[in-house]
Amino acid sequence: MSYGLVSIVTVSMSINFSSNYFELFNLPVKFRLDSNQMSEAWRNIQNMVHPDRHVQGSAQDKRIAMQWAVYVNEAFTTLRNPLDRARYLLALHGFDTKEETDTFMPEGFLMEQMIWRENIEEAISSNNINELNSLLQQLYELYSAGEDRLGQFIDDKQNYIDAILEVRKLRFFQRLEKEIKDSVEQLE
Amino acid sequence: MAYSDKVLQHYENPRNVGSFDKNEQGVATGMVGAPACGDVMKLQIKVNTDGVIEDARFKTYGCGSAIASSSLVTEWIKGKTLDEAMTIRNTEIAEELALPPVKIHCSILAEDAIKAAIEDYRSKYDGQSLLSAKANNE
Repeated sequence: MSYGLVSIVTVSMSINFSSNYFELFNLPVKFRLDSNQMSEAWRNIQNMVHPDRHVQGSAQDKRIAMQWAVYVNEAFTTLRNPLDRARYLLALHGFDTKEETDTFMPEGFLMEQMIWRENIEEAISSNNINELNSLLQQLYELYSAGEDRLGQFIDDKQNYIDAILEVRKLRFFQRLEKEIKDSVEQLE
Repeated sequence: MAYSDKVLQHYENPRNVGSFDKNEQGVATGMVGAPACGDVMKLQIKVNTDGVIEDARFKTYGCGSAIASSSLVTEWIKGKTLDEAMTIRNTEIAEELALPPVKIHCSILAEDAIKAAIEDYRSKYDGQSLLSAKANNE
């Protein structure tokens, strides 16, 4: 299969690299994104910057094309992952979720986290894989409810403070998910 | 990743694990959590009528460094006044346990747990109420 030669100049004019990731893909700056629209936007742009399209270009053209491909990949990976997308949106609005440095969380939430850990430990010590799988299902339900709330906070209410807390909570859930999955793997 | 000897000592033989009845006189609780690693730390202090931390307990879900950090601070804060305990910095904890840079957040968690417990104590007992109760009795 042969690609037509697209000049780097043409590509650089059709893609605005100083824009944010949403604008790069011509997508609305929102948390709730239509997955079909996302896939289509991805195909369009990836096709344009794909290194195979620049095989006949100069070494410099190829290098630039490669850098674009990497950049576009990174942008799409960020937008595709809901938690990364939420963080990126919050950053666009000037907010940092401070997941590495801020240790304050509502006490009730932390108590629940302790109970989750206790339940997981108990299931592990009694070799109860069914219980672990049931915990995993509960976790997925909580996670999905949290994603719905993120959409409400960011898109509907522009309530970025609560959105930050929601991202931080979902990060704890991700950790629990990993712990449960690892344990199931070990018990199996 | 290799843990330092001091981390291993605390990890294998943690000091002051457990909890107090949170309604007991002089008991206050600090809970903190680090989203990045999912660690959760509960630190309880028991403060006597002189405003000195006479005992401490912890319960931590996390890696060896997080457990060692909390175990260490329960030892450090015993016998200290609240103001003295407030001055403990995560850098001292990290240094004592020889924590690598990727585990510094564990020491931050322990420092923040102390502060959260003291804050809880101050809001619960309105700062001086135990001391004034004592003064009234004398």
